[in-house]
Amino acid sequence: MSALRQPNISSEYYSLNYPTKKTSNQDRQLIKYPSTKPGKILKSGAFPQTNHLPNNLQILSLLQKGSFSLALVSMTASIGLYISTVQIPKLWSQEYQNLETLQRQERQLIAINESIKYQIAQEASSNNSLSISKPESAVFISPAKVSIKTQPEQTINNQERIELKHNNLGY
Amino acid sequence: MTKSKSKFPLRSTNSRNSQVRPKYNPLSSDRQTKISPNTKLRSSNQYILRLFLVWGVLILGAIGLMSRLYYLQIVNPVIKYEQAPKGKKLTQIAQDQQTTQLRFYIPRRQIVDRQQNVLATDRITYTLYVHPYLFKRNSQPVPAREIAEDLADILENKTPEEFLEIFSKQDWGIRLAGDLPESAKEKIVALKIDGLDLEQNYSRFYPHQEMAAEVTGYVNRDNSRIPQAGVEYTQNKLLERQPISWKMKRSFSNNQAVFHPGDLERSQKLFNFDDLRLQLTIDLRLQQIARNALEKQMKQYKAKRGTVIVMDVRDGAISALVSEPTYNPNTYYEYDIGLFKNWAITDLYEPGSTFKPINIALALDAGVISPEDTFDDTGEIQIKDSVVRNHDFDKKGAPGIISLPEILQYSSNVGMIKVMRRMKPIDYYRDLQELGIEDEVEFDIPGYTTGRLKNEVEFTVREIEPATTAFGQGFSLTPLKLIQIHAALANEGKLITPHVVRGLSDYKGYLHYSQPPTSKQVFSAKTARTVLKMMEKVVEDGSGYAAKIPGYRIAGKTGTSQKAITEGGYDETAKITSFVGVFPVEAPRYAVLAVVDEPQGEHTYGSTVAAPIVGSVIQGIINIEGIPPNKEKLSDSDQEQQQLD
Repeated sequence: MSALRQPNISSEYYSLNYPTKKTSNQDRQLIKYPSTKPGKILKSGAFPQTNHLPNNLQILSLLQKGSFSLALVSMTASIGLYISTVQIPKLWSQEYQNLETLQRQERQLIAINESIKYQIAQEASSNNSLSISKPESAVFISPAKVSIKTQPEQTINNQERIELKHNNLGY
Repeated sequence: MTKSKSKFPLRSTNSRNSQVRPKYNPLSSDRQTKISPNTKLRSSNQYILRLFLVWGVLILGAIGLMSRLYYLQIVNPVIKYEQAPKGKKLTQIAQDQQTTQLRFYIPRRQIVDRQQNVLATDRITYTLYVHPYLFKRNSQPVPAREIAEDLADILENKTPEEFLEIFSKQDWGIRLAGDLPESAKEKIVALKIDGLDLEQNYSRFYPHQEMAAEVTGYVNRDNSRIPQAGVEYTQNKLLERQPISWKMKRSFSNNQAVFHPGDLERSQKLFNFDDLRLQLTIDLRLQQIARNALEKQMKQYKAKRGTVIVMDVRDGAISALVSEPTYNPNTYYEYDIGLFKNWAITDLYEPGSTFKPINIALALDAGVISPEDTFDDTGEIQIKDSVVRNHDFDKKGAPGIISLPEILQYSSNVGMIKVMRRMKPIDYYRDLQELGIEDEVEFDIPGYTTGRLKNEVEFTVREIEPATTAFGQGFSLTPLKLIQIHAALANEGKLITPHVVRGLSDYKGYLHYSQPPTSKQVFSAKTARTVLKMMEKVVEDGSGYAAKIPGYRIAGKTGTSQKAITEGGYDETAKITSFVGVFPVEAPRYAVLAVVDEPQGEHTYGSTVAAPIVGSVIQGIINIEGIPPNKEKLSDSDQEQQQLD
C-alpha cells in the first residue's frame, strides 16, 4: 500500500507541470518502461480502480458494506433495545420510587405542620398571660388622600423629557 | 489472481501489455513459493489455535449459562415446583412471578379550612403481624430474643421480655401493633426478617383533633373506610377517589423491583390525579376563639352543652360552628355515640326571646303595626285560663306604655303578645311556615331536623298558641335555623341556605367546583333594616350589654327559655340561654348565635351566659378581619366620654 501512494503524489506533480495533452504520450511511455517507472503505471491505474474491480472483490466489498451496515443497524438496535428494556424501566422505577418518597414526605410534612399548629394554639389558649388583642389596641390607618390620577401624568411627562435628552445626546 | 490481472485496466490500451504480464508473473509466484512452507505452517497453526480459542470461549460461556440455568431452575428456584400452587401451569406461575399489580396510592381528598389549614388528611399506617415459626434472616434462623429486642427498640411500648412472652404463646398470626407510622415501617423492613408481616392501611388523620370535629366528622378506621359524620359523610362523592392499579411487568435487580411500564398503552394515564382539596368556609382561628369562649362559659356555669354558630349573612357561609361537648375524630371509638351528631343541627329547642325580633318583622311586613307604635305593657296578661308574665314582673311590675324598640330592649312578653295579637292567627301561622321552620334545610352536615310548629287548627283555635309563639315558646327549631332567619333580617330580608363547604380548591386556593347559594326574600328590606336598628338598642342599653364593643355597631337579642319536657309542660329548673348578634349594623356581615343548654347556678340568663360568648367572638372577627370601628359611633362614644368627664 505504501508503494501505491507515492505515484499519486507524483501524478499530481506531473499534472501541474505538463499540459493535459501530453499526459496521453506519457502514458504510452510509461507502458513501454513499466519496470523503470513503476509508480507511473500505478498512477494511471488509480483512477478507474473504483469502477473496474473484479467481480469477486466487488461481491466481497458489497458483503463488507452490507455487514458493516448490518452491524451498525444491529448496534443501534441493541442500544435501543437496551434502553427500552433495561434503562427506561430502571429509570422509571427510580422515578416512581422518588414520587412515592416525595408523596410520603409531603404527607408527613402536612401532618407534622398541622399538629404543630394545633399544639401552638392549645398552648396559647391554656396560657393565661396571653390574651386576645382588643379592637381598641388595634391601629387602623386610613388610606392617604392622594389622588391617583395625577401620579401617572407626572411619570408620562418625565418620560417625554428623558426622550428629548436622548435625542440631543444622539446628535 | 490471474483473473484479476486479466482485468487490469491497462490491458485494453495496448496488445503488448499482455506480453508484459508473463515477465512479472513468474517472479511473483517464485517469491510466493519461497515464503510459503514456513508461513503456511505457522499461519495454519495460528488459525487452529484461534479457532479453538474462540470455540473454547463460546463453549465455556454456554456451559456457564447452562449451569446458571440449572442452578436457577433446579438447585435454587424462586418457587420450588412442589411449592407451586396446584392446578397452575408453569407458564402461569412464571407470569405471576414476572407481573405485579402496581397499586397507586390515591388518597382521599384533604379537607382544608378557609385559610388552607389542613383539617383532615390521609396517611398510611401499618399493622404488624408476627409469625414466630418463620423467624429467619436470609434463610438462617434468628433467635426470637434478638427480634424481641429489635422490636422493643422500634415500637417502644413493651420490653423485650414481654415480646418474648407473646411470641411463646402463639406460633403465628399475632397482631403485635396497629397504627404504626411510616417511619416505624421503614425500620422494621430494614431488619430483613421473615415472619414480621406489615399490613398497609390508609387512615384518616385529623391534625387539629377536636377543633373542627363537629364539622369534618370522621371516617371508619377499618378497611371499609366508611365516612360516618360531618362533611366526610355528605361530601363523600367529592372526597373519595377510586384507587388506580395497573398490571405491570416486573423484574428484580439488586433486590430492588424494576417495573416495565413499556407494556402499558399510552391511553392509560398512570398519574392522573389532581391536587384538589375540599375547602370549607370554616375559619380555624375563629372556630378556636368560639370554642374557647364557649368552654369558658360552660365551665363557669356547669352547663350541659352549648353551641356557637357564626354565619356570613350575605352568602350563608358558616365561618365557625362549634358544639360542645365534642370528640376527637382520631380516636372516635373512645367516645359516646351520641356525640357524633352535631346537636346545633339535629336537636330542636324553643328559641324564646331570640325569636321576638323575627315576630316584629313579620308584624311590620303584615302592616298591622308601624315602628312608631306604642303598647301598654301591663306586666302580666290573662289568656283564657293561663297567665303570662314578663320575666322581671316580680321585681319591676308593669312598665306601662312602651315602644317597639323598648319591647325588645326589656324583652317584654306582654308587649310581644299585644303586638302579635294584631295579626290574624292564620296569617301569623302562614308567615311562620313561609320562614321554612318546618322545611328541610339542605345542609352540609347530616342529620338536620326540621322544626316543629303546632298544627294549624290548634294554632288558630287555641288563643294561647299564638301568644306563646309571640315570645318564642310553644314551637321548636334548631339553632342553625334560628341563625338562618336572623341572617335574613341582617341580609335585607333574603333567606340564604347556610353552608360549610366552599368547594373544591387547588393548592393556590382557586375554586374548581362550588355550589351557588340560593336565596328567598322573606322580609322586606325596609322592615329588616328597621328591626335591626331596634336590635341595636338591645346591645346599646338593654339586655345585650355584655356583647357591647366600643366603637362598633352591634345588634343583638338575648333569650332565656324554659325547656319543654316530653311529658308536656315545662321544666321549672332547666333553662336554655341564648344570644344572637349581628354586626356591623351599618353594613351587616356576620350573624353570631350562642346557645348554652342548662347552665347551673344563679343569674343564668341569655345576657349573662350567652352574650359574653358572642361578644368575644365578635371581637375575634374584628381582629381576624381587621374591621375598623364605625366613625360616627366613635365620635358618639367620645362625646359620651367627654360628658362623663
